Amino acid sequence: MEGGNPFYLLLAIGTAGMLVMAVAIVAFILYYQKRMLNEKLKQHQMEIEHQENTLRMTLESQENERKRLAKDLHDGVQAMLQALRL
Amino acid sequence: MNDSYAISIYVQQAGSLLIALLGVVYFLKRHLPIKLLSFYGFNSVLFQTASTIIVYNHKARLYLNLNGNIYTLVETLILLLFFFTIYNSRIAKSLILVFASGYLILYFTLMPNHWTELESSIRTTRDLIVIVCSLMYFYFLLREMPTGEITKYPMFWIVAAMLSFFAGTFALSVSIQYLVKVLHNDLALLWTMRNTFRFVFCLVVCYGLWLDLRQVRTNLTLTK
Repeated sequence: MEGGNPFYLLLAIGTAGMLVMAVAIVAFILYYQKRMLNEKLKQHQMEIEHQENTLRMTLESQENERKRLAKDLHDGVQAMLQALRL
Repeated sequence: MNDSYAISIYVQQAGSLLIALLGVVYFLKRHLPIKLLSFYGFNSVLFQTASTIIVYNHKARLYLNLNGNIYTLVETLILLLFFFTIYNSRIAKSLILVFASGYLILYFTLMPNHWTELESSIRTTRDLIVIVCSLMYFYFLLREMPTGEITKYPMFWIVAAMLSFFAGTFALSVSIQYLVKVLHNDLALLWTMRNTFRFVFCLVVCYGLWLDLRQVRTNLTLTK
């Protein structure tokens, strides 16, 4: 451009550099937000999984306890009835 | 004046007009920053029209730079007001006030006796202020970390367009005085490129305004 003055090359490099920097900043923000959202989603899913596990374990232990009580009750009454019969 | 330069003037004028018109629809229902953008569009159209009239009127050519210098001041103040309204942080708002005062002092210190010259410093400072304000907006956006997709936020596109445009023209603003005074460049080709770039900037801003308009319409439908 206009006699090939090196100043124009400098101007072109400056413009391109600043433009690339601006676009890179915008792209970084988009990438960063997406990554943070994904991490939040993962954390949320892990929390739900943990809650489900806790609930399942509570239910299992309740069920076991119920079974044990039923067995104890059954065995005790049966033993008493046997003793009475004798 | 060559054809491509003339076309680029009209194209960027059309872009500014589009910004103004998209901001005017449902004007009363729009947020203050959008109203300000609409005003920014109208202001650009006004000054660009004045500039076109001056370019075609050879006797008034002396006033072309005066028109541009006044436009730079008005544009900077409108954009500062725009950023002032989109920030929630008090520190950021205070910083905007500091920028505005600093710019006014710089402007009225530099401009007396140079009204008809193409002043670099006021344009460079304007670009720097807009770049810093845009970066501050993105910093606060990342800190707040919205749960929705930010590409659906009108302000994201508008500020991204501002950052890209003012960063892209920063080098030109810095060297404009040197180009004219030392290299005797008539700026036709450079200004054609700048105008084309500005048109792209206007289109991205319009996309943001259109997203905002869609949100306003949805809200209106829900409240009916």
